[in-house]
Amino acid sequence: MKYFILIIASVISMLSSTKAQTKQWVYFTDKANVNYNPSKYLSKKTIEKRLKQGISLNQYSDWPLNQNYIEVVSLLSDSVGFQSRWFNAIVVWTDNERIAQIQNLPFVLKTELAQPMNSVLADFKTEDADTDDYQLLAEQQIELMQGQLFEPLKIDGSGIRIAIFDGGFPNVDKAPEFEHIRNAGHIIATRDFTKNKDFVYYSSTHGTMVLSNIGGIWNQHKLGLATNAEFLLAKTEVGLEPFAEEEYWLAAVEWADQQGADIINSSLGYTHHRYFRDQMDGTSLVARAANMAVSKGILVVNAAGNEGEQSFWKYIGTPADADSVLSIGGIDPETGYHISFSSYGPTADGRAKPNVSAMGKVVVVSKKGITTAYGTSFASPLAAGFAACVLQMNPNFDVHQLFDAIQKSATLYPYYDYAHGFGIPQASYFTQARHENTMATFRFKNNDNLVDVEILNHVEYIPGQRNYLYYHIKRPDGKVIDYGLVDVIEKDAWALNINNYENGDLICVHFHGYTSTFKIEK
Amino acid sequence: MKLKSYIILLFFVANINAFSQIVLMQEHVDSTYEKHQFGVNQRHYLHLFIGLGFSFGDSHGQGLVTKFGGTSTYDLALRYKLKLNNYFATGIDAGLNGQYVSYPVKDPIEKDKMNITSLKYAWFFRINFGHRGDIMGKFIDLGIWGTNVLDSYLIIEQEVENQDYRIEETYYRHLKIFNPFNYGLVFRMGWNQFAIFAEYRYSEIIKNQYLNQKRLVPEWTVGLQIGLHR
Repeated sequence: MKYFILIIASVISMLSSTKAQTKQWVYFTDKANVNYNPSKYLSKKTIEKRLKQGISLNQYSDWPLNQNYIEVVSLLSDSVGFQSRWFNAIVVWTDNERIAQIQNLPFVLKTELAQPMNSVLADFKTEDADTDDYQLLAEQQIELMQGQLFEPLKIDGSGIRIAIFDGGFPNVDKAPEFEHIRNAGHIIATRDFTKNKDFVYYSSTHGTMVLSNIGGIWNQHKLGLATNAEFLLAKTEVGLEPFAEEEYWLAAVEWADQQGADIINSSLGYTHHRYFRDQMDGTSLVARAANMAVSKGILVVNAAGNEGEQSFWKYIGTPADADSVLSIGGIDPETGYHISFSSYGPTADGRAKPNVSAMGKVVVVSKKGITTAYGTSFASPLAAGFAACVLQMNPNFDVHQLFDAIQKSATLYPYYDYAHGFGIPQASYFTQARHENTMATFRFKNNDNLVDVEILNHVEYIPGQRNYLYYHIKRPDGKVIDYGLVDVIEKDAWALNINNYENGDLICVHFHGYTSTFKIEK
Repeated sequence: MKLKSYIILLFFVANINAFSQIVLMQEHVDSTYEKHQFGVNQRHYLHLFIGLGFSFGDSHGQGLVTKFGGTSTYDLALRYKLKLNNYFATGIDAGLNGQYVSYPVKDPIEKDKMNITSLKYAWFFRINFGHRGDIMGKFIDLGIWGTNVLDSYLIIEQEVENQDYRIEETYYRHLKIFNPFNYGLVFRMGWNQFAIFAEYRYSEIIKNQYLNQKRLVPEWTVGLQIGLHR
């Protein structure tokens, strides 16, 4: 028995000593007595972008931290890590006793635990196929966004700088699919925030795959739309399904801003390892950082997540929950609608997410060569490449105009739901000024307690023709309570018993490009 | 409820009307806003777990009889956890425990084995470490346990003479030699689904009057439990 007590005592002592030293964010109250010169801190590209978008060059959040504050806190810490200008905070390793002392310093606003956590989107499945299948799928991932319409206009992301946050970029420095990027000198900067060095061409192949879906060219087939864009490659994840840390993401986003990024693609997210469902309301540290990046003129494109098939958590993670982040869901190329694993919205506070969708099964370049991969991780770079093309075509767009235009260009707009967002962005909206279809394709019929949808000009059903009717029922405040998708066979396509809903609820239906709304009145 | 399979519905069930279409997706959203009471790191949680352990050491100072690995225990049980706050939780276990005891051959003629199946129950107090979301995280448990024997065998292996040294096993079921109730302490150290446990048994498996050097069972058991949850 004495051994039992001894073992328990040693384990508790070991655990408590581990707990004693923790990683903490220390937030300062101010940035008193610091000097800031935007031209020394911001790159020329960042300055140009901010001037173009009317964003101030002298933002408080860009000012450096007060070095005296850091020095005092470092005396109460074992080590000091990342220093965030945006949040006026530093990461320190210290113990509980000294945390209390730090909290009592007059210039310390608060401290917050900075725990390692799992990112979830690095999980992906790959599948080998034959060359014909790769070719077909590669064409499909471009054509689903009508990317071929950009080609004759020479729209290829030229002049747009895209930062990619991922787990590593092995073979990007060697693979022929990226030769055009290397030869053009379009890899502007690289940074491994996990090891504090510049070399990023190692570790997880996920980043290589993501880059390929923005700007890779395989056998003369574009795998993404922004083949002539410039790239900033940031390694922010530790491994394939890693213990990443929020601070790496935050460090990378500040770096990307400094380096003049127009767009950030982040195919990662944080869910149940760190958070509860009700916390996915856009207030996490990475969500706040993403929103701040948008406020500085950067479009942040983030994968919705691959949790759609999980019974315990099928919702988007963070930072995809951030208000200003363009969250990307996945489409199944075989069916043309939501791919089963793509995470669902809305955010915990009821905001519509994802915003738009792109293909969730794609051809990518991995460190071993060409392959097929599944995941919203790859839908996100397809959308980021699309955004780069839109920005190239519309250089005067600010980030909010770019965000809105991408949503408006999507196949289902103005209809939306929490699986597809507004649908798949379409190049024709920009190249041919395509607008919403105003030709009615269906009409509502109200019979007592039923609201029927009758298809106009109905033709005989042919299996597989994708005669999709999307519907949602929402409250007057816009929060969707039910939504779905049916493949229409007959003229009388769909009906709803309105007894299940409240007076004033809205039924919104989308069919073949036409959207109409019916107000429930009892 | 989500329907992703192609189901042709002659009667569109959700709306009770005669319409024909293929329902590809149907989602209800209300529940996504709710804060749940049941979940891995919510107020209440219930899950199955399996365990495998090996006994070792002395048996209450009476001399080592079995080798490590010769005595093993198996658990299949339910665990209920009540979260008290972010750091503390308590809970109970209830399930089946199997114990297999095999003694090394000391006697060239005779070798004993025991198979005991019990109802096992436990109460534990849990301390969690670190911030976490809806996951089990890192924890240590301290608790007490008890078992009630449901079924028991004493198996005696004997060499049968004049038959080429063939070994014959004789089963003795429900002998009165087994203590019907056992109890002890448990300590667990876990991370998400996995927990290493150490158990100390205060009682003897065999009643005092039947105890001898051949039928002592070590009081220590260490092993691994795997929670059948995400």
